[in-house]
Amino acid sequence: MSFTQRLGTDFYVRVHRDIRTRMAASGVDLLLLDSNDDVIYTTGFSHYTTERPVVFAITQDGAWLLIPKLEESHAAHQDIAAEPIVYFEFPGIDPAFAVLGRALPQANGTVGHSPAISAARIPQIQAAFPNARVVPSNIVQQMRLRKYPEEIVMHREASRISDEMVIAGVGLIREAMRSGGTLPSEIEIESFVSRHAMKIMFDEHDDQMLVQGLASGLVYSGPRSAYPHGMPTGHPVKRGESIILSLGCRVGGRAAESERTLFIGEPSKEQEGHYAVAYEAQRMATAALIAGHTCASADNLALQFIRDSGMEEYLLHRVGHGMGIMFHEAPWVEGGDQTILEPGMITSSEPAIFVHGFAGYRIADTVLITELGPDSMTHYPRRLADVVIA
Amino acid sequence: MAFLQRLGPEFYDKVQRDIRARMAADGIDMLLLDAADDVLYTTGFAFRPNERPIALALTAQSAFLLIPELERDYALSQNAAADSVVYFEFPGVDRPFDVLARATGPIRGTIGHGFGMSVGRATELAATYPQARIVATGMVSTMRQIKYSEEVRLHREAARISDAMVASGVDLVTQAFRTGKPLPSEIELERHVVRHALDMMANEHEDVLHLATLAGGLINGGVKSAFPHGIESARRLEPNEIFILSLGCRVGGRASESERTFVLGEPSREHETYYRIAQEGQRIGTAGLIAGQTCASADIAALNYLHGAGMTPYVKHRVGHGMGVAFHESPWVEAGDQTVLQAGMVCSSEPGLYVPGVGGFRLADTVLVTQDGPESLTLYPRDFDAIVLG
Repeated sequence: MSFTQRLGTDFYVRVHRDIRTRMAASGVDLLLLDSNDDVIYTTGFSHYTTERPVVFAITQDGAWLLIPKLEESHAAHQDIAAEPIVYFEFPGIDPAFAVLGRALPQANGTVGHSPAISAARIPQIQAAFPNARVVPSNIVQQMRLRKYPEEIVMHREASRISDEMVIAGVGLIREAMRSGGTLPSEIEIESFVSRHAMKIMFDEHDDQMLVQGLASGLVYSGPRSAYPHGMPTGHPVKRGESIILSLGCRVGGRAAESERTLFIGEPSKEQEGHYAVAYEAQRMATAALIAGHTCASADNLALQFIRDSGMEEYLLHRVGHGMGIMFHEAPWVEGGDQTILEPGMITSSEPAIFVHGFAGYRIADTVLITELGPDSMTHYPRRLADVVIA
Repeated sequence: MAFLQRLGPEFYDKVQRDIRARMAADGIDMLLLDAADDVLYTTGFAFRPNERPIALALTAQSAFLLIPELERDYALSQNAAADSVVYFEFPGVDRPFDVLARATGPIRGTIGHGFGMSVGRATELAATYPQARIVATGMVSTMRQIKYSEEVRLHREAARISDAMVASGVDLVTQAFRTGKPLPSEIELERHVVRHALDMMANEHEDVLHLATLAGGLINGGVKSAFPHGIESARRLEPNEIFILSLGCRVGGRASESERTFVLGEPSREHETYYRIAQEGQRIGTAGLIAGQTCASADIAALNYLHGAGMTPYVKHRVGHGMGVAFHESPWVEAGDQTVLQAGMVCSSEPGLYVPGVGGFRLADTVLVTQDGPESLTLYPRDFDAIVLG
């Protein structure tokens, strides 16, 4: 009855079929995808990204994965959904794209590549396919916006484990407070909750898709939490301060995050006032993630509430971002993104306020857009009484 | 007497002066660098990269750092060596490059960007500066190959800590083995050695430069070690098998790695045979890192030795890669890279053998190329007797 992280062959057959339909519609004969996340999405191959190209190539008739020699056995072991084409090394006497050009049927039509490909690789692709027109194509980016049901199962499990990580972090701090010892440092908390997540995966799942960033988090307390993307430090958490636990993991290569702001001891009136605004803004943002509405509308609504509460100067970022294989991917829940929300999209909801020199306040959930409205897949409680550790 | 990780303003003045000299020589009026490692190299600003653009825009007179609002205080707190130009969000109602263009004014000449910039972003750049010619340039990547003396000092300290990480991993394993306790899992080992490195920095350094990967490693045991880039699992080490500790860290944002292969308990005859060949291959790789010779020559010498020893089926990659701000960067110690080695370059030397069903055999050192020959900055013992633990 245990949980399986790996998606089956039938899943990749369907992904390839859907890519081919879009390729035919947009006149792309050969599509090349070279990002770690697109490779996971299309083949199930997880690898450690280096400068060596790993490239998924698909035509109407075939699907290949270009890999360096050192990934050959690793790819075979992962039962990838593409035929391997192996080059020896980077930069190589026989460079990667030259090997690819010889292995594939010569494309005379259009070769598409992801817009995220680096500028350096374009001349190499052009040289490998001299008769083709080389153009950017966002086919797979668009497909990835809406999740397949099998992917939603993964995101839901990743959400459950992300909540468990918050529970574990809170437990660690609470224990230390009760025993009267020194409180753990940010780094210790981060290390503890990451291990906890991995333990759950190894104890409860049949198999694990080992990806970079399997489980991790941002942990920052006191004035440091006013830097929303600061790195965890060796500072111990302190009574009277608040702490942000921003924790997430990837199950089957699918991401979730659960984040809460917690108070170490009873909060002051000032802290309560800040928290109340962050809480209400996040509730509004989640409620606005409605199929048929734009991403921008949810962002505008929640950010306007924060401004109207007199906290504009503490506003440093948008409501959220899409999640899929990556922790951050399109669509962006932001005033400049006019993407229409659709069922099957997954985004974060995490408007926040950051009071410089004092503290940051952020609550983040992983939210699935459904026909029936937003479905928050992370559930850790969030009322003030729930987030006081005493 | 504590060690200082952060480089001072005079260092960044020098770097920017040297870049400007190259820009003038190449006819580049504005250089735009949007890779996290280039931003760290040129401004000292360390951040966690995501989809929000962060870029240095350098002209003969000015240095602007384009950042999102949520990094404003963080950049200030790190004394970033450029004037902040702040946009609110990504993708943004007021787009990041539009905000930058208002600060720089129109550019009529040539704008250069790194080869790593994505095609999508290069297209936006061209749209933002319609009067400029946009070209990709490797000038900063080339500069980064030869380290300033201040950087060598940081690499040396990172090498010392990388060696200490290996020693702490060995201690953890041998302690458990000798006392008959369960051996640690790969993940536990990884956490332990990373923790050790962070503790060393916290205790011995004045001002830790926090990066997404401050210290880390790849740890693979048993037959899985035959996958060169496997991701660690919860599998526990077992007696009488091979395990590889491939550990590294960044001090002041400058990388090093130290890697050894160990046998816990009784080595087999096969273990010893493969290890001695890998060790000799690595000795030859290091000895070939001579100023004035090509990168290719060092790779060919070491790989030819391995081929000559009948190891061809087990050779899966080159001798090594450059190290600097990134763990992997040019030059590449590989047969396809004709870069001439020069004093001040820092490279890994790490040819390996991967024997299916037996394990992987790899030693890696961080090597400084000097006028007087290769100097290994990592010094952990490597004789066969030293790597048999028990």
